[in-house]
Parts: sequence; structure tokens; C-alpha cells
Amino acid sequence: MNETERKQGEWEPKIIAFLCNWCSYAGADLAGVSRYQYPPSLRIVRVPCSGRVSANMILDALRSGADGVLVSGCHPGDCHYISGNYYARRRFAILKRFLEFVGIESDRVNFSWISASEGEQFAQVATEVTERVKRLGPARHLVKEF
Amino acid sequence: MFFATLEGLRRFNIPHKFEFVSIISLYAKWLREGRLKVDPAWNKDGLKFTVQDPCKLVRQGLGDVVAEDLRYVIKKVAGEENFIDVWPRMSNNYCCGGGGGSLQAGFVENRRKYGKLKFDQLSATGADVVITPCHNCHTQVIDICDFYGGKWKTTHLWNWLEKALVIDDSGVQAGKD
Amino acid sequence: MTTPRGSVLVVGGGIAGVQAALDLADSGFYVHLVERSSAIGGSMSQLDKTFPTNDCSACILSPKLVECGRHLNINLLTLSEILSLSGEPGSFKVKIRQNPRYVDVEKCIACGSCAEKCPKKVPDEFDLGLDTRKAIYLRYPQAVPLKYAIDPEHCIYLKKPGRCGFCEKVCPAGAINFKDTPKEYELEVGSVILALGFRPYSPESLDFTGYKRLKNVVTSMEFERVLSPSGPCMGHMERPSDHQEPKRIAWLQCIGSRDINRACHGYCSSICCMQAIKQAVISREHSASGDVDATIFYMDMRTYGKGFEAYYERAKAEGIRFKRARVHTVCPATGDNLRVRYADEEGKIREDEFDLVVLSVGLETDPQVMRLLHDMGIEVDADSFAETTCFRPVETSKKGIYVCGALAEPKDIPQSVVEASAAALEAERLLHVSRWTETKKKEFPPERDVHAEPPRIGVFVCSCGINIASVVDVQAVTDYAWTLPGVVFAQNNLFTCSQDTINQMAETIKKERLNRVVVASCTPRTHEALFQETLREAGINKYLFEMANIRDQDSWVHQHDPEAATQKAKDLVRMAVAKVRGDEPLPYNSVPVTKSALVIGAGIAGMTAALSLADQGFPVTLIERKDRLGGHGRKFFRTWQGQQVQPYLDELVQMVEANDKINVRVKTTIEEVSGSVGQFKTKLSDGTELEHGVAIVAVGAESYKPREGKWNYLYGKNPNVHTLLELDQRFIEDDQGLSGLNQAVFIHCVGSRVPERPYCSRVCCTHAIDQALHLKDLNPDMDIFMIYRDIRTYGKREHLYQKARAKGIIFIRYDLENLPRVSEDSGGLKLEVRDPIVGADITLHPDLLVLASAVRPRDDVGELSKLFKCAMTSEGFLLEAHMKLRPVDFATDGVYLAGLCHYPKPVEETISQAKAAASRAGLVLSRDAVPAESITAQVNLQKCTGCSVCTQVCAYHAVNMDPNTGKAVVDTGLCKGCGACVAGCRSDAITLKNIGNEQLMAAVEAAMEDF
Repeated sequence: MNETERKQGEWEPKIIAFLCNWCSYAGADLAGVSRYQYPPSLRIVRVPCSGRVSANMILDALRSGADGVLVSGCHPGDCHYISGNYYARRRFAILKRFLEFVGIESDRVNFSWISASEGEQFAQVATEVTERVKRLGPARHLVKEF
Repeated sequence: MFFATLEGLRRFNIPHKFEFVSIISLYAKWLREGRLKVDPAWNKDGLKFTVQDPCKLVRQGLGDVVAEDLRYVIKKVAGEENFIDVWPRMSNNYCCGGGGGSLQAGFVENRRKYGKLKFDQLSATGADVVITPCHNCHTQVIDICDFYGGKWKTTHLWNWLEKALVIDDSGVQAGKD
Repeated sequence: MTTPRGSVLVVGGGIAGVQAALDLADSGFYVHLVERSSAIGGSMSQLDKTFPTNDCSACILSPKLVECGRHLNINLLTLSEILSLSGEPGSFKVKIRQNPRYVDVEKCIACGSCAEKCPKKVPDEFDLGLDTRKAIYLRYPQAVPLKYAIDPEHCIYLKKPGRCGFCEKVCPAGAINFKDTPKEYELEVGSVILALGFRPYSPESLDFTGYKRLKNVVTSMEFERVLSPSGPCMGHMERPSDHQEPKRIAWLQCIGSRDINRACHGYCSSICCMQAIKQAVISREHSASGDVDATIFYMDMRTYGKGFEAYYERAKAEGIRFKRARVHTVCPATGDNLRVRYADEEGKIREDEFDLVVLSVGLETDPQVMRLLHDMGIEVDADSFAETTCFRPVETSKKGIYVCGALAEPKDIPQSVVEASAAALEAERLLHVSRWTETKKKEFPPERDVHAEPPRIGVFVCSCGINIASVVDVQAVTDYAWTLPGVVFAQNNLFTCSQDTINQMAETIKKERLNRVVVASCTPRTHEALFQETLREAGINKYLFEMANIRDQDSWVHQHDPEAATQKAKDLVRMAVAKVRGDEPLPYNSVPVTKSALVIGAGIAGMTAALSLADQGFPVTLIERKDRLGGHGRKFFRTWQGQQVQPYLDELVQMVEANDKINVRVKTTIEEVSGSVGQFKTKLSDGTELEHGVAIVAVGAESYKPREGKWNYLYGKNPNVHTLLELDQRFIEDDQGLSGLNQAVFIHCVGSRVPERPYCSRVCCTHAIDQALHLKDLNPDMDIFMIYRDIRTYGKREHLYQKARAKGIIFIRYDLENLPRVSEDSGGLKLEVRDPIVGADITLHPDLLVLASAVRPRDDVGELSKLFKCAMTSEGFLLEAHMKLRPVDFATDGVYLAGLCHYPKPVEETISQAKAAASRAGLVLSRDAVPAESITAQVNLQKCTGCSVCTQVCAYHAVNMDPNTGKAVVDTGLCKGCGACVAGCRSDAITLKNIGNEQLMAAVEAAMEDF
């Protein structure tokens, strides 16, 4: 497979998706089981809970060259670990403001609730997030160039 | 008579010591046993046969068994390859439209309109001969054939059985007995 | 009875048999599992997808089969049959003959060279003759055991020795053994479970279908194979005559069911309505253009199960056509097409043309099975199913022999699984004193210490048949894996989860001295445990493992972009390799089990579950919010089979109260729950604190009372309007008092299948018809009318419907656009309704109007589900862990559910489910300890500043401040490994073992490396 050939076509962003094991990761599986198609831009990292995702990890993704980040957890009230998704939400709200402050477009970093039964929703969110990030173009702001 | 008696005994659960058999099933039985011998060689021109399943005999009467016997006999008599079945068939076949007194009761237009379904079904087979083992069906099928311009010949079964019958030199029907 | 045997014989290797075997083997009994064919899996393995979740059947079944095939305490006897059975409960003697396979299972590596060379082609029975296989064959690609077998009926060599023998020449393992002979075994077992399943009805004798005469008429089972990716068309939907994709497909329902005229099967086969809808939905997905015109011809649409009605509604919304008509004939049309002739609802004859006709065939008992039942002395009913009763739903006529699955009545997979667990429970109850007496213990080899070794990573890339390989270039991914740092081995497999590949993986780990493993295949949610066990068997710690999900999250979602999907697969493999490089061996933690149970709700379900556990010696606390035992069951007159409910209930209450292992607490509810499987702590409303290892939730449901609104029908306003249960109450108190009535009318679906309660309440059709029959018995001259939408008397309940019709009860159909109108007319009731057959309004003057009102979930179920962290459906019923294969488990370990809180269901299904819940609970209670979380948080004391944020965010109180050091400590027994504390820590002082920043960031950075 030829990398450059592919890159000559339309630019596809690279998005890191942190999905909680119990809801959103299962939702992503269901999207597959139901054959809902979405752009091949996501690289999914499985985490036990959206509450496991720290600001540090999101920054790490951007620093490594990700054009966008998606964090997705269980719906409010459905957290497998009781309250992890609430912490995630709070943490995320603060981080987002900070990122805007340092010049990262707010559409690059996204948060959603997707349950294990929402395969179609997952495909939708993946498509929407990809389009949003695509409009912004590649992210180089936090990438250290040597 | 056949159906009226059969159904009467069945409906009112009347005990009886005899059984109801159609001559068609007897033909089939004798053919299977070899007591009756037939040869389809007479059918040099490859006349194509199809069949009408009379309601009183098959659907309401003795069921698919007798319909299968009927086909068995025709195939033996006319040659396996010369039989073309109808759709739908046997217990599921269409009524000819002539039963229940309608042949005698007037309303000719209605009877023939109903019979169009049977006509179309039989025409679709392209057969030269339609076997109708029931006098009512026989009359109705002849009538709709004439009326709608069909090309087939409508007959009973024995007409052809007689053509195919194998008789040995002594003039006795071949086989045991 | 002397000490019973500690082993059980399970006959039949379908999903029911497999589930029963696993339940038994996991709770201390040795199991002999006998299967007639060369591999287990049964009918479920032949299905493409399963309703209502559209899960891939083979994908969800396969892990169970593999577990069964690998289980130390399950003796799998394929190609085997029962010769004789004697003895008594606790000690049966069984003679079994195992027919020769002619292939040595120890040697066969399932490479397939033999089948490739074999010159003899025969019809493939697994594909129902739609395709051919060779005389040496594998039943299906994921077969367990994954071993070839020679079919002696067709093998050229076996018929004439010396004439062929190619397979023997090409077999690289020397596994062919033409001299193999039948073996006979005599087993001694304590109990027998029959799970012999069904066979699909053959419609050959139904002439009107054209089956076998018209090429493009197939049965529903054949169509499953057509749709299946491992079927004859490789998942491309084709019709038989010309291998073109059909654009217009018709499904004909009730072929060989509900047909006493021609098929001699009066019963309803229960599953076919849903199967047809599923096939219609899936056929659209399979179609390249997606514009399949799907029409289902039906009599009553029977979507009565959990999630079924919503599935039906969704199918209607998607444009699948539903025609209420019994088809007259399928006739040939031009170009191998088919003309379907039927009468529409107005009575007009219509003809529609289709490219393919699917016959939704019913279920029936195999005559061979009938003979076996006869030889064993097991009684069968008039429909040729094993005879059971409502109060003893899994017991056969012979003590100690139990039945589950479709052998007792046609039923779907979840109900079969429930009964399998219930049958296992009965065997456990009978033999509990001999638990663990005949089992073997799994010994893993000592684990190699890999701390000092540099990473030696092995990567296994799965093709998943064509599921992955048809989109992703698996060979390219495998080649790429070789180039990654630390990778010393990479391999592509057809099915990585097959037993054979797994064994081979264990060998590879040892041979190549691998110390880290990556499997790139499906989702870790279903397959991680299986591969992790393989690591242990190969002598390395199971946490040195990662999966790359290149199917569910890659090949399946990028079907039209193979290039990008292949690139993504490489990325995912690289990420997994990066993460596994940083993984470390972790300890195997366990939690001691408090050997007692808490059962919540003392209705039929709760009491049955409590007795089922107490009889095995486990102490049970049974709590009930009301002041007496009995629950909803107090309101029922009789079961559909005619057994009186009240005497049964009284007996049940007596048994519960007399059982010294059961502690009954009435007027008690739950205040607080903490802990987890093995060690729950629950605070009751009376102030007591209970410790228990498991909990069974059986809190029931309520009957909907339509006091207001659209479904009111003067309920609560006119004294002659009742709900079903209120009429039952009158039957219980004084049924003779009803014999003077002249006219009774029943309105069905009152508050069910309506926008605010979209589900079907499952029980009401049967209940209402049974009541109508009782009224007819009381007064044969009474006029009775049923105002219904679809009659859903599934299974053998259909006979009641036939009886009702025969007795002259009149059925009038209505729909939501034409509701019946009820008013008061000079003191009496007046009901007007449009009769769609007559095409006119008719007016009735009933003395009694009965509303078949919905079963609705209790409002307080939500709070209870929160306490136990259980999920709920949008309708308010409790949600099981998996709709198909884990119907009584919650996603939360150690908590189970039974009865109406799960979904509306009749008494017999409630009893089965309660017993199943008890069987599942027994898996925990029969052990001294259960495995606990190994992935726990860990504090780096050098970095910890003692700020105590972690203690605040931990929902389990697992992190606390050590008063001596002033730093955080983790209680690993309580820690669930969620990582909230890790993300919350300001000093990067807490990490989650193997899910630390180090590993996750390695994965993230690896994801970006190639760009």
C-alpha cells in the first residue's frame, strides 16, 4: 500500500478516540455489527471509563499529531463506575476553555455520550466529528517540529 | 353420489363397514401390481396431457393420494414426458366452475366468467388433452374450451387407458391372473 | 437414595445443551455432552444473525462452544448416540455408542488438505444441501471440535478399500485412520438433561408452496445459509436458479405451523415471525443496492418478546411490507420468477410477482428423537414435544431426567438458554451433596518470570473467515507486524478463535518464547478472556496481552474502502504492540465468597429461586415489601394448561416458610447496597445489615389500570368493566356467579403496543382466551367476542385459540385507527367496533367487558436498579447482560433477575427463569472464592503529596489516606479499576496497572507515528 498515493487524494484527519469499555466502545462494536459505515479517521483507544481520561492524555494526543480528539462515555446516570463520566464532563469543560485560550479550535476536541445500544449514533458522531475536524485542516499547533 | 355419501358418513360420524375407493386408485393399484399392463408406445406423436382435479374427488373427497394416483396412471398411459402438470394442482387446484348444479341452473354468463380462470390455467399448459375424471368437470371444461376457443380435447381417463392396454395373443389381458 | 453421582449426562450439543453443560461444569459437576453430529453448535450455528439485536449468531455462540470444548469438566462425545438408559435418579447407567470419525482428533490440525484432495462431492447437510462438501469434511468453519471427519456413507475408500485413499496420502499429520471402529461406553451419571432441539419442517408435502418444484422457493433455514458469510454464497445474497441478487422477496408465514389441515401441526412455532422480519431487514443490508422489496405474508404477527415489537415497528418504518393473507399458491412466472396468488384483506384475489420466495417453516421433533424418547420412557404430548407442565417446566415424566430448549415446545434462543440453566439447576438440586466429587481441577503451568526479558511479541492476525479478509489485506497487516519493534513472530489465521488455532497459539508462545501477545481480530469484549486463558496455558501471565479490533471497528465499518481499512488495521496493530510492550504481569486476585443469597421479592419467581438455592444448602434471605408472600401470583386463577394457581402458591409459601435455610422478612425493602460479587453488604429498611454473596432481583411488575385516557373504556366507571386479573379474582371467589351472563366481550392490547407503551405484554392473548373458554364452560350459551389486534397464542397455547374458535367465540380485529367505542346505553354497556371482514360497524351489548390490560414495570424498579448498578430498558424493565445468551444475568456480576421485572411472561416461564437465576447464582455460591479485579490503582509514594483528591473521586471508597504516612493507599479488594483517581491525581502519583499513562500514551503516540 502506498501512503503517498493515498495522501494525494482527499486529506483524512487523524482523530484519537478515547472510548469507555462499557458503553461507547460497545457502541462502536455495535456500529460494526450493524454495518453502519463511517470515515476511517478514528483510532480508538479503549479505557475503562471516560473518567480515566485526563487532560494530560488529550494534550498528549494533540502533541503527537492528532488533528482531533473524541472522548466518549456512558450516558449521565449510566456510568458503570457510578460517577466517572461526571468527572470526565467537568474536567473536559475546563480543558476545552484552556485549549481555546492557547489557540486550539474548540471543534478539535469533542465529547459525547454513547451507550452500548447506540451503534448508529456512534457512526453518526464519528462522521460528524470527522467533518468538523476536516473543515479545520491539519493541527500543528502543539506539535513540536524538529 | 360418491361425495354426498362419503361426506354424510363423515359429518354425522356414521359407522360403516365399507371403504370409498375411486376407480382411478384401482387402476393405479393394478398397474403397480402388474395386473394391468399398459404401453405408451401408441403415443408416437407425443400428445401432451394435462389434468383437472375434481373438487369432490380430490380437495373435498379423498385428498392428494387420489390426485397422485391419477397422475401416475396418466404418465403410464401417455408416457412420463408427455404429462404437463397444472399450477396450482391437486388439493390446491381451482374449481372448474361447473359443479354445485351451476351447469343446469342457468346464469351461463357467470358460470363461464368463473370458468375463465380454469381455461387460462389449462391453456397455459399447452396440452392437447385434458383428463377430467368427473362428468361435471368434463361438461364444463368442454364448454369453456369451445366458448373461449381452446385447442385441446377433453376426455375421461379410460379412453386412453384402452388405447395403451397391452393384450397378449390369447386376447386376454397380459399379466398374472 | 445412596450418595448420588456427581456427574450429569447432557444429550444434544446445541445452545441449550451447551449452556446446561457449562452451568453444571462450572458449579462442580462433571458433564458428558453427547452430540449426534461431528461438531457441537446445533441449529444456532446455522443462523446468520439473531433477532432482535442483529448479533452475528456464530460470533456470539463461538466463545461458548470453545469454552465447552476446552472445559476440563466437560467430556465431549461427538458422533455419539444413546443406546440404552437404566437406573434411577442419582444413579443412571447409560450406554453410548460413538461412531468412528476415521480421523484422529489428537493429530488432525484442520489444515483442510484432505478435503481439498478428496474427489467425492456430496450435498452439505450443514448448508441444507444448497452446496456440496467432500466426503471428508468439517461441519462448519468454527466447528468445535475443529476436526475433520469422514462420512462413511460416501467415502470411496471405506466403500471399496484400495480405491481412493487420497486423504491419507496428503494428510501432513498422519491423522487419517480408515481402521477406526465404533466405541461403546457405559457411563454412570446422577441425572440426565435432554436438549435434543428440533428439526425444521420440510414443506415438500405442501404442494401449494412449490417447494422442490420451483428453484427459487427456499425455506427460512436455507435462506439463513444463503445470508450467512460462511454459507454457500459467501454472504452474497443470491437466488438458487441464476445466482442473481433477488430484488423482490416474499416470506410466507406459518408453513408447517398453525396448520391442522395439511401439516398436522396445530401449534405455533413461536419464532418464525421474528425470524422473517429479521431476514427481511438483513436482506436489505446484504443487497448491494439496498433496495430489496420485502413482503411478509402472515396471519397474526407474533412479536411478543422483549424488544420484538420495536423491531417490528422499525421494519414497518423502513418500508418492509406486511400483508395479512394466507397465500393460495406459488406459481411459476417468466424468468424463474414466482407469481404469488393470495386474497387481500378485502377478499380480492391478487397476484404479485417475486424473484424469491422464503417459506417460514415451523419447528418439529425429529422422528429419531421421538424413538429415543420412547425408548427412554419419556412421555410426549400430542404435538410430539416432551411433555412438561406449567409448574414443572423442565421436568420430564421421568424423575431425574430434565428437558430444555425446543424439545419441549418451539422457542427462541434466550428462552432455551433460560431453560438450560433451569434444567441444570434441577440436576444440581438433585445431586448437590456430590458437588465437586467427580470434577477435575484446572492446573495452569507455573508462569515464566518475564520481568527481565526484553519484549518478544507475537502478533496473530485473524481473517475471521471473510469478515475481515474481504476488506482488510490481512497478509499485508501480518507482514507489517513483523517490522514493528519487539515483534518476533506474526501469523495470519482463518479463525483465530477456533480451538485448533488457539492450541497452536499456545504452542507458538512456548516455542518462540513469546512474552507478549497481540491478537488482531474482533472485539476484546467477547474474546479477550479466551485468548488470555491461552496465555496462561502457555505459561505466561494473562495480562501480557492486547487485542486490536480490526473487525467490529474496522473491516465492518469501512467495507467500501479496503485501502484505508488496511491502513487502519496496521495502525491498530501498531498501537496494540506499543501498548503491550509496556504491559506487566499482574497478580490474580480473588474475593472470598459469602455463601448466602439475598432474594428480593417473594412472588412466584422469588420464592422459586429461594427454594432452589436453599434446597442445595445455601442460606437465603427472602425479602418482600408487602406483608405477605405470593406477589402477583395471588391474583391468578389458572395457568393456560388449566392448573389452579392458588393451591400451588399456598404450597409454595408453606415450603418457603418451613425451610430453615430461608429467612423470610416481610414489609422489608432495601436501603443501601455496597460491595460486589461474593461480598455484598446490604442495609435493609428494618436496620439490619446483611452480608451475602449474590442477589436475585425478582420484584415483579404491575397490571396497568386504564383509569383515564384513551384506553379507559369506562373502566372504574361502570361496574361491569374488569381487567383480566379482576375477572380471575371473580373466578377464584365465585365463578358460578358468572354463569348467568349472556354476552361477554374482551378488548385486547389495552395499553400495550401503543405509543406510550410500545411493547407487547405477551401473556394477555392466552390469558383472555383461557378466560373466555372458562366462561363458555360456565354457560355454553354465552356469546363471547374478542376484539383483538393480533392473536399471539404462541407455542402450544395456539390450541386454546383453536378451541375458542371451535366453541364459537367470535374474533373481531381492530387497529389503532379504529378503536372500539364503549358507552353506556340505558344502564347497560354498548360497544361499537368496525368489523374489517364485514366492512361495517357492529354494536354489542355486553354484560361483562374485560380489558386485557398491559403488564407494566413497577415505578420503583429504577431505584433498585441503581442500588445494584443494573441497567434498564427504555420501557422500564430490567435489562439483562445479553438479550440472547445471558438472559438472567445482569452486567453486574453476582446479580441476577427473574420474573416480570424482566419482561411480561406467564407462570411457566417465570418459574424457569427463577430456577435459571438460581443456577447462575450457584456458580458463585458453590465456590470458596471468585476472581477479582487485577487491574487496580497503585500509588507511587514518592510522588504522592497527600492532597486527597483521589479519595474524594473514588466511588468505591477504595482509596484512603494512611494516617501514619499522610499518603494515599489503595484497598485492592474494593478497587474496580475505573481510573478516576488516576485522572484526578495532580501529581501523577497514582497509576492503573497496565492502563497507566505510560501504556495509553504509548498507544496514542504510536497511532500518530506513521503520519
